[in-house]
Amino acid sequence: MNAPQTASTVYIVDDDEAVRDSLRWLLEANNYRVRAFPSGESFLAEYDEKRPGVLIVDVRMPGMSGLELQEQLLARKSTMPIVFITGHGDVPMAVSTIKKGAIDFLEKPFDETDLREIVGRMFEQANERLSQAQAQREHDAMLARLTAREQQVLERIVAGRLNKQIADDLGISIKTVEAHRANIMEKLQVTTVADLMKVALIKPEISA
Amino acid sequence: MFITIDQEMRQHRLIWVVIALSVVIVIALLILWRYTRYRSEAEAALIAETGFRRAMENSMSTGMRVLDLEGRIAYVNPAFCRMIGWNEADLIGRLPPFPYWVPGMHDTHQQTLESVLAGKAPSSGLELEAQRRDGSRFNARMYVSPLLDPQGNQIGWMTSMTDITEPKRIREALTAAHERFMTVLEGLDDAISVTADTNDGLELLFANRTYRRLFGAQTNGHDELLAGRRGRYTDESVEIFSASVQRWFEVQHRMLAWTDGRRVRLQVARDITERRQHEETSRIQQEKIQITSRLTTMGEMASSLAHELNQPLTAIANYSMGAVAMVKSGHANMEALLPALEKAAAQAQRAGKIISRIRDFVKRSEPRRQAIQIQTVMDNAISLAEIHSRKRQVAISHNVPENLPDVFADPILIEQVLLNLLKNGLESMEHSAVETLVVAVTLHDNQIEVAVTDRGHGLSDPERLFEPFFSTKSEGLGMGLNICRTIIESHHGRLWAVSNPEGGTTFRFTLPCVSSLEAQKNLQSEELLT
Repeated sequence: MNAPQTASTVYIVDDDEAVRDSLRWLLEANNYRVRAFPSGESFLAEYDEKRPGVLIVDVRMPGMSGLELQEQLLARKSTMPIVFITGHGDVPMAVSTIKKGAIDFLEKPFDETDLREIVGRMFEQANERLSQAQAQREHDAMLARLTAREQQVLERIVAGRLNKQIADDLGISIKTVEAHRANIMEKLQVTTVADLMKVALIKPEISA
Repeated sequence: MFITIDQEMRQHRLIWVVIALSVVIVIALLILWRYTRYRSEAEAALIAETGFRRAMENSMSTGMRVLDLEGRIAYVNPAFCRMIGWNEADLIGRLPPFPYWVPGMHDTHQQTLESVLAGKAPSSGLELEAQRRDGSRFNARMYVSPLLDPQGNQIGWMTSMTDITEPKRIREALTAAHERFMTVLEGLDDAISVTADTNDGLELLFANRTYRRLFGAQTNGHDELLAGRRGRYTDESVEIFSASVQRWFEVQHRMLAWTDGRRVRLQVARDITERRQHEETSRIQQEKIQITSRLTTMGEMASSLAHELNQPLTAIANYSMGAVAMVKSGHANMEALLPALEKAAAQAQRAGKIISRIRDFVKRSEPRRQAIQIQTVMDNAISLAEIHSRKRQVAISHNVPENLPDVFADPILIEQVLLNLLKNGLESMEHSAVETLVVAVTLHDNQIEVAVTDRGHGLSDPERLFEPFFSTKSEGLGMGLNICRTIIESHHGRLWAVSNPEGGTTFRFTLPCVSSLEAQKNLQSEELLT
């Protein structure tokens, strides 16, 4: 089992050296751990999923643009929160980034309060997503402990079938169904059928 | 011998009788001889005459044929025989159908013959097709006249016949050529006309279909397209607008010798209305692009400057905010702060360099001011706005008092400002009930004020129009009026907008006059300062 992860790094991707360096300075002064990259390509080459964080990226860059980087991360199923740096007049572009899941956009020059607020929000979201993923993983692991037969029984319990009907469906005795049922409750660490239903039904909601 | 007187006398008398008789005989012989000689001379003459006539008939190229009153062939000459390829012997005494009739057309031939025998053959002759013995055919023209004997009684019909195959072929070829030529001329899209000068004006000698369709069969069109160029003919074509048909023509003139030897004018007019319209549209398009590109260049420049300046400003802000945060937190250390502050300073210099680059650029495009008449600038701007005015069917009325003093300004820039205001006004009035955009010029306190009043949709706060990137147009950049204001202000004038009580907006701008020398001096010294 993995230890619960927390996002701690702010990744910066900006082609302008001065903006990149000064932003790193500002964030470090606010006690964030920062890693800065001059291009989307260099970021993707070094980014390690095991060190989750949040991403501040310039919309306009030569080579891979901020939008393309966002696409690439989406394609990799990354849940990393993204904020875009925009100049004046990039608003329509910024709107499209938000539609694709970016948290917000920062207009240059930055307002310190806005920046802090946004970065804070990004970390909140990053950690929320991480813990959600963690819960999902635990849940998956729990369900994975069920045997094939137990899973068949669980499916039918969730579908609202009675023990007798399940026994008929699977061609086993009611006693055996009851035994499976007890095992399932134990493995999923629940005591009531209501809890069992909750655990079994969480799965589709999360993976959706 | 014994001879009596009586006997002697009788003998004497007898001798005289004999002598007398001999004389008579001699005379009779003489007469007979002369008569015989006369007869033989007459005969020889007759033979010569007959031979001559025969020779004539034989050498004639016209075929001769005589039909008797029943329609039997009584006589043919060798030319006739040659023409149809039958011998005299085959023809003489024949009754119709004649061997030279075309098989299958006997009815026609029969009818013709009947009309000939009835004396109804036209005096202008008749044309028919005949077939030779070898089966080949030819066209013949026949003239028929009654044949009379010396007493004046008709004894038959005399027919002369000529082979007109070749002349007919030539004539047909000519007709076909003429028809082809006419078809081409008639089918041309160019209006072609030929006229001759007469004492009463022009006489139309020829007009093709296109010309007739456009101008009718009269000389008016030709005259109109001459456009007073009588007597001057060059190969150059001239573009002329015909008011009568409301179309443009490319017209070429040429002097020609007509069939009757007269010198006439040939005029070829090509309708180029569509081409002109096309050219006009693309010219307008071009003009529009030029005008907008001048404005967009300024807009783009402003936008790219904003971006460029943003970078160092962002960096400076970041370094400073970071430094502040560090100092505030209480564990600031000099070694960490120093490079950040140095970097901030470097970024400030970067911003400074950008600013001086803008300076250079602005200097290069500094207005070229001169003393100008506002009327001239206005006429130019209005003529440029005509296109938009026509498109939107809004008229521009302008009122400029006479004897206005000059203004000291860059005519191109002021023209741009005015054009921009006119265009905005026209655009706002596109769906307005009032159809006139009013431009008025007034003079107050040594300042010329130009007011452009539209009756368009109007705006609750017209000052907003001058904000950069504010636009009421979907494709507008929102830089136009902002730039206009900058231009007017650089001329020491003012540009502002007020709402019209009757609806719409009035834009006003002022420009200082150069009527007083002092004002001019002031302006020039200010010029030097900038």
